[in-house]
Amino acid sequence: MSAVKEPILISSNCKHSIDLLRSRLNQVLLGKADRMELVIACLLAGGHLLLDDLPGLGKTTLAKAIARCFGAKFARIQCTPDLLPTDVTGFNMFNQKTREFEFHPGPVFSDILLADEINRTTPRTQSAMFEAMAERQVTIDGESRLLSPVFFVIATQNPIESHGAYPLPEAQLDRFSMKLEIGYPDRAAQIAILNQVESQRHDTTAGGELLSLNKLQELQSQVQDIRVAPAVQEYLVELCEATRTHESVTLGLSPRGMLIWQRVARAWALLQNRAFVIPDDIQAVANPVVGVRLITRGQPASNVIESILKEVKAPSYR
Amino acid sequence: MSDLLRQPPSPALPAASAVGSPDNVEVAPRAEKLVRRRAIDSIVRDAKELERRRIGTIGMAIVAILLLSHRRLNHDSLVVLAIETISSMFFLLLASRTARRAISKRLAKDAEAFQGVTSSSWSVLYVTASVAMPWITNPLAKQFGNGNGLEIVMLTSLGWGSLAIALLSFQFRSLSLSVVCSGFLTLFATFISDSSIALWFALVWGILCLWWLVNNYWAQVETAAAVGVQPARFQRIVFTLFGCAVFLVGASFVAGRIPVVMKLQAELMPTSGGTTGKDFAARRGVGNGDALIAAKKHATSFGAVETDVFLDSEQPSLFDVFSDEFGEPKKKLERIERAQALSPKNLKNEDGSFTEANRAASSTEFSIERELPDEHKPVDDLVSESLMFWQGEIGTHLAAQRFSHFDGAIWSNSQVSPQASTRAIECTIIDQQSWFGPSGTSVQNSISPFVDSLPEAIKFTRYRSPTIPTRQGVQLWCIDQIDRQDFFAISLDECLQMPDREHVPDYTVVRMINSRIDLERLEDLVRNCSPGKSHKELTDDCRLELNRLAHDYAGNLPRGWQQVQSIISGLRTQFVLDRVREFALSDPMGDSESWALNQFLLHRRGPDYLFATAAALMLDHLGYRTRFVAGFYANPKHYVAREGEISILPSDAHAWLEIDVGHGYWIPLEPSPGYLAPQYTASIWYRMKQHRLAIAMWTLTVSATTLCIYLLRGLLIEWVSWVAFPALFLLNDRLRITWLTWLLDVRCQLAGVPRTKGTVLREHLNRFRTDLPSDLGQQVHLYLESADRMWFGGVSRLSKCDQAAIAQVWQGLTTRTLRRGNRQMTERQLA
Repeated sequence: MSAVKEPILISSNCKHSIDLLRSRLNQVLLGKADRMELVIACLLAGGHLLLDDLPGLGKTTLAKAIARCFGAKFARIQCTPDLLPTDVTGFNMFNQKTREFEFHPGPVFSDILLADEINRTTPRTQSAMFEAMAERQVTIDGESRLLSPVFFVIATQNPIESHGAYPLPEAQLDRFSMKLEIGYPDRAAQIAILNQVESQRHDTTAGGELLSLNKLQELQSQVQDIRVAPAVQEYLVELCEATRTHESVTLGLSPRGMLIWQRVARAWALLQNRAFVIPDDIQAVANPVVGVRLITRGQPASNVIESILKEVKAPSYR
Repeated sequence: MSDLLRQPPSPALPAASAVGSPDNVEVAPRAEKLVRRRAIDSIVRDAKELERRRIGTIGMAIVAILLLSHRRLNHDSLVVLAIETISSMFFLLLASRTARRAISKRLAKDAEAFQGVTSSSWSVLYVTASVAMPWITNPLAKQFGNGNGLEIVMLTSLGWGSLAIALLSFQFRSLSLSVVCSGFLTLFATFISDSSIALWFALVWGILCLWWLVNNYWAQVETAAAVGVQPARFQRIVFTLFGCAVFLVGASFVAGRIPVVMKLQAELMPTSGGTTGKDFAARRGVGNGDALIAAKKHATSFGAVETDVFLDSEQPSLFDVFSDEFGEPKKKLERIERAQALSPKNLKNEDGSFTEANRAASSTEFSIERELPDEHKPVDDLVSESLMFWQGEIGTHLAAQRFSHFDGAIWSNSQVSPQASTRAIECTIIDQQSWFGPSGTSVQNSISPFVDSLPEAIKFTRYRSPTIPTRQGVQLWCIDQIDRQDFFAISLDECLQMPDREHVPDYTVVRMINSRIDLERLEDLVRNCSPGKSHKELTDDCRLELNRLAHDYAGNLPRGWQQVQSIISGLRTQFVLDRVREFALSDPMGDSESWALNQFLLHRRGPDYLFATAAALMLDHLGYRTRFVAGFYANPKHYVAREGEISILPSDAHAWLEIDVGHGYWIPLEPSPGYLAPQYTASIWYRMKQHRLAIAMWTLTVSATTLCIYLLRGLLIEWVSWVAFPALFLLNDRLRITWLTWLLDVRCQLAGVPRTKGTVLREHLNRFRTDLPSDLGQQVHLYLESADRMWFGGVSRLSKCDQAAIAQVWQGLTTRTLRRGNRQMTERQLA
């Protein structure tokens, strides 16, 4: 009989870092604590975030705040139909003086990249970000260039205006870890926002660097050490299989999606100060993680996910 | 056995000897090193080859043992066989382990640990125990009616010996000895077995042996090679397949063409000989096998074999059987009148003629006024003491004589019309066998109470009567190779007989197709049958008492089967069967009619023929036509498990009655307690209709109980959990969480908030947490945390605090608490 491993304990330093981050982001976006938890989980899981929401809800503010928290290099792309791939990745330009090609890095060579209204640009430009998002590297003129190890993409898209929009292909959707809708703040939060503006204290760039990029990397590596019990893994697999066999689902979850789900669940467990994943973690992140990559017919993805979570038996203490 | 424990040519030995001291290696000439190395290679190769051969040898020994076990199952119970096999295997494995440990110690040159031959002695002891195990279990099995002959026990020992040699031997020739032993065992067991499965075992053994031989040959070839040779696996397979093919072709060619084999198959096979046990393999000879008659070339010859053990036994006639069991019929005292004495010569003749007349009349009469029977010695052998063997339903009533008239003391057939003639018999040929049956009205038709077809058989051994006991509803019967109708006759009392014979020949097997009695039809018939004419004569006092009893038992019931059953049931429950007769049934004065019946009614106890008489008379009073039947009862106590048949002993002589249900159908009734009533068949629907009241009551009771349990389920669960609470501390942490989770799920369900399968417990309980007392909410949180840690976090033990939390949740989070929490939550949501 194999000896049971005692779980890895979450260090107090790690807890403190997470609390700082959580506190800062909750100050930036008032009344959206639950969304902020998911954003942090996505960041710690080393994934990329797709914000599917209306303009003016604080997407850019959020991205800038995250960058400021880690003192990270922030870049923003305003996606338009005439945006070229080289505008995203960078390009080699011939220098007349030195008689050599010089590389001019694009916005992807930042730590935090905000791709605003990503569905407004052409599929060609969207595809330019494939390699960057998946492998954290870009290949320009046959030469691969590594991106930042904490490279984090926050892409936004407007669900209302569909004219002149290029919906993201499934392959690219699968590269996002989760899709979130921030939504309008509640009444109290809106009053608080007004008060902040009145007192001139609402400055998105307010506050200095909280944590270093190294600390972020450390947190991300800590996520990989979170234990996932076999029963939870079996539950995860059953859920994934259920997405593939559900009658309202056209395209179920891929193995890559399953891996991302596990990683985000681990990050979620870390945010709950737990060194192991429980079925609650899987369920908590199911909607944003599965919703981005599930193609349904007849009913919204959230309904399908909810029904799947109800149908598949969760592991219990029996 | 001495070579069994010899030192093996293990690879470890040459390795140890080859190392030697470094100095020796340094000084040894190159040639010597080469020779030594070659010797080492040879020993290593032999060791490997030995292990290879050992596997095949073990396989052959196991196949041989399995074959013999299959054969032995005919006589041995599975339990005995399993005990013997497990014990023998245990000792063999122990011997093997001990021997190998001893050898490894020797190889390690651990002289101190080895200590002479102690371990070897233990191995020999274990092997001896294994081989001797059949000799221990067989006598024990015989105590329980199983067991085998000596030759089978010897063969079993041989099998275990063969396996022991295969397991423990370290020499090639010993392995060959094991193969010879298992081969002999396989050959012998195959020849003595009747089952075709034995041939498959033999075939498997043959293939293994062939593979073993081919393998040995090619191993020798490879060993003889000058340089390393690749193992000739392909050649081995080809040669084995070729050998199998040659064997199969040869076998199919000679099959059925060797006269000696055919003769052996047809006739002579060995028997156990001399024991009381019978061998299924003995197709002819001692025993009562079905095919004994068929063995004779001429069907008219029924003589038993000379060695038959029954020839020395007493062979009672039917009259003797009844007299022995029920006592001699009481002789009426001669009326004493004045008379002139006869001469001694004439007196002697008178006595003689009287005795002869009495015996002659006995076959058509049955007196209920009888002397006390002689005390019987207990039967110690169901087989050799039996009159016949019955292969059929237990509790069957086999009629040998029927009497329809009762004069107050004697049942007789004297009132049968002289014009009545015996029924004709017709013959039907089915599958080249002549089957006989009564001609005229068929036994089974649309109104007949007899349905279904039951193949049954009766085998006669020491029965001395020409009557073949049969049950009511016999459709067909046959005797192997008998195709003449005049071998049988149906007497006036509707008993089957073999006419013009002193008795049914010994070892005759009569096969029958019998019927079951359909209860539904029977009830219809009894309800509609017309009252019969009474043939019973009785004294007034007896008649009055019987009439009173009849009215007591069934007077208020309408005419029909239920009324009949009430009479029978009354007798079975109110009277006591007393075959020993603790009181005198014989009239000491000898001048009172129906004395025995009077005594029976007075004491409410007596032998079975008085039960039958009383029942017949009571039913007669109620207007049913009945008759008295004497015959045999297939007693379940005399079931011979080995044969699957019931031995009918003289003590199974029995009397009962039959009732006329109209259209010429008579149905047996069993009024004597202690005897199984005749079995009736009926459709499920009909049975349900008959027992509708009981079913309704049962349904009502079960429903009421279920409803009560359902309504009080909350209380019951709480009570059970309260009672079981102390046991919680006896469980380990994991089980505590498991049971608490189960309990909480049940309580949630009872509280009307069941947890769906996709909902995790934490999420489910969190709904109530805010509405729970703060302390309890904290305990629930601790319990969930600890459960998560243990199930998903890899923690193996809980803290005292967590254990206390579990205990508090067990006691505190009751159905009522959950229900209250749910109510508050709902109110809050509505507000």
